[in-house]
Amino acid sequence: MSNAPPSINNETFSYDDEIVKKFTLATLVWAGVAFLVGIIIALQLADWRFNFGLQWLTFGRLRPLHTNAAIFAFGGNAIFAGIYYSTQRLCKARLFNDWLSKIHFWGWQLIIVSAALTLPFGITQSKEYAELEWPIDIAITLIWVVFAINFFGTLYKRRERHLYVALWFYIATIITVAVLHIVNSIEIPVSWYQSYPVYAGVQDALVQWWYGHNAVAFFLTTPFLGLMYYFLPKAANRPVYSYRLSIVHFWSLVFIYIWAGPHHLLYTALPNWAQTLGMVFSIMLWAPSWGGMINGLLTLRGTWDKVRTEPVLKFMVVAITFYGMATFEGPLLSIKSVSAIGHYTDWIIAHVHGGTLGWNGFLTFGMIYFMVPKLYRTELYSKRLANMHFWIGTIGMLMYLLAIYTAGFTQSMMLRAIDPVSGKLVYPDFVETVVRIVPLYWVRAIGGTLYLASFLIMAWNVFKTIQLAPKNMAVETFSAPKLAEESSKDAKSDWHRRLEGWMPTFSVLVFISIIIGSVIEILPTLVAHTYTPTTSGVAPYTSLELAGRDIYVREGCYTCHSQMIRSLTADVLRYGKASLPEESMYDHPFQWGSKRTGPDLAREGGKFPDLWHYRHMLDPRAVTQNSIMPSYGWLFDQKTNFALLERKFEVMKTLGVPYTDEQVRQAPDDARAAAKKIAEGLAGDSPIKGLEDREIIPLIAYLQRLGKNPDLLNRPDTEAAKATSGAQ
Amino acid sequence: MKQEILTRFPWPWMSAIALLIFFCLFAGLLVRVSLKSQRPVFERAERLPLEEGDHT
Repeated sequence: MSNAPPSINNETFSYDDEIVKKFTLATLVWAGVAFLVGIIIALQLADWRFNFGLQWLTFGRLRPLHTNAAIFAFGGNAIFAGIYYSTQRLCKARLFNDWLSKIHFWGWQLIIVSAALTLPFGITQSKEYAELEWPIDIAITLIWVVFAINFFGTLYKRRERHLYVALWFYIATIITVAVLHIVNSIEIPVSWYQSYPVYAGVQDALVQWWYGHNAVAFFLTTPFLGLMYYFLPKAANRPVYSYRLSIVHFWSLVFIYIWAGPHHLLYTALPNWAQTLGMVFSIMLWAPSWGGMINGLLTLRGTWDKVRTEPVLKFMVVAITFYGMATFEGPLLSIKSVSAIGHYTDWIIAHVHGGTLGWNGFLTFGMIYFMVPKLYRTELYSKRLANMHFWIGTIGMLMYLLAIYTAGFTQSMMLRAIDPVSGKLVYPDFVETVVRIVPLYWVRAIGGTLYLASFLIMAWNVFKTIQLAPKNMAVETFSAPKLAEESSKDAKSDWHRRLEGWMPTFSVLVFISIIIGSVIEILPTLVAHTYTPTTSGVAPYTSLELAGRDIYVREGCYTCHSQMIRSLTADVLRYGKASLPEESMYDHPFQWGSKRTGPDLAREGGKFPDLWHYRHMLDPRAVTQNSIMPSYGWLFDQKTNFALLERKFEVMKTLGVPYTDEQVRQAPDDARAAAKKIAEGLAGDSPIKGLEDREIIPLIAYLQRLGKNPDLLNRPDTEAAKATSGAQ
Repeated sequence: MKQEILTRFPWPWMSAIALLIFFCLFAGLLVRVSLKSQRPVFERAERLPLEEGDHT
């Protein structure tokens, strides 16, 4: 940067740093919320009393709040701050429109507040990282469009012909997140607070994990890689190690990442070809991911001495190292035999926290330590505090990860242990495996608390730095030559350089790269019904069961219980015959889950009498000693909304569930009659008057229905059964 | 049963073609970025983060 006077061909301009400041401060606020909620739910797993007997504070409702706050509030605001800061400087242009920037900022905060209000109230779609209900989904779409217009508008009016590699990653993020969000959020509203997705069962699982995996890829990876490619060279004051490698890194990553979603569904009822495809592409991801990591670390060649003294570089080096570890582990976990050990256990929780705390968290902290002094034209208040933040945060993170990796391995080994003589499970009671790892949950909570404490040190440091800012800062102005028409000689020089100059063409190619994998994986599943006959051994849910299912979804039961028995010996021995695709064919949304803090419930129906479920929901420890499940006392007070069942049946019928018009009309009355029958069976053991109206009754009806498909399960093995059996 | 058909869904050629497309493009990309003639372009591009426009 020079202080040369503007030449006659130069244009003067200023950067909109106010919006960057706003997003940076929002990042800090929401980071605090996300980390705090994380600690609360960590404590809830260590001791169920931390659920406080309050329905809006239970693990099932707070866990989605934690993930949404971490990804979209903390991560989202961080990437918007970094993207707006770097894009302006890489384009040598002010953001396209100040009003769009403001709408983007306030709209995003409104969405976050809506999430923070609705999720604890149980307003959820239960699709992981896509729990928010349809009005918020629409708001997200609109605000994302505002962001896209503002970003692409800035590229359009740029004064630098070459689009630097960081901008490519931002383009890929904007395009792909839009596609993922829109496709995964197609749903039909039942009311203002509820909707059913158009996909069901296997289809819903595939679309959801195509979205879920790529939310990680294109919300927590590509934008942060873009930030790495900008802020690391800035902080080290030297160019990126290899620009060539960055081009290969970008195109390989964008093309391959989108295919990897099915690795979340290995050994499930997902078609085998899709599982294998997901696994193969996940393993291929090793190469571009490590290409990016190596490019980042080698950027510091010859300047490693600065890492000892500069907190910004310290955070970034650890962030890139965690990126390398997480992207090594991800493909490893995608190998079927490794997934058989890790899936549904705390190993996955450790994996994602290595990524978010280490990669996203530390890169964001490094970026903030770099930006804040520049935005406020001062020095960082205290390098000592920044170093303290670094070490306490690192120790906290390592405590968290070591504890939870150990918990994951321990529980997995116990769940898989089979007596070689009797051929029976060594630990048949699921709760035995939970009790063993509870001490590690305490260590996790302590590690998380250290991470939060270190973050608070940073917040204080940033606050004091802002206080050091000079009063009445004048707007900084810059000058750069206007973008000239490209000469024919330049235009012929290099195809990729020309491509980068043609922003719309570049964006279309990115779109094609991500859409190839999406179409090949998802389309066969979505269009299958158009050429295959539908015969069924599965009856649709009764109206009372559907009401119970909605309560199950509302309470976030899927956060701890799966409904998917994998074709693994230990799974089959513990829970029964491997799940078949047909069993979830009417599940809008699917409830396969991704973590087993409690046992699988796919064959729960008929295992226990109604009274067992009644007592279990009232006080889990009354029937399962040492259970860490919270009590659900409010289900015995709150009344079932029977009136809405007609509308729910109507929507389900629209979605293809074979209800007759008569069944739709009769749905509320049928539910009342069925509820009365269950309540009469419990009357002798329940002091509650009017039990048939309470929410516990439909929930019991739903739980007793799970896996009860005698026409399907008793018939000789179908092709589907053969394909998904063959226990490993 | 539609899911039954899906489980046996035999479209491996689609994946094969996708992989072929990827490897062809990847090889082309590698060759292209390795050309010595591209060096000045990359040297200019990699310095972009270090510029912010001239202060006035």
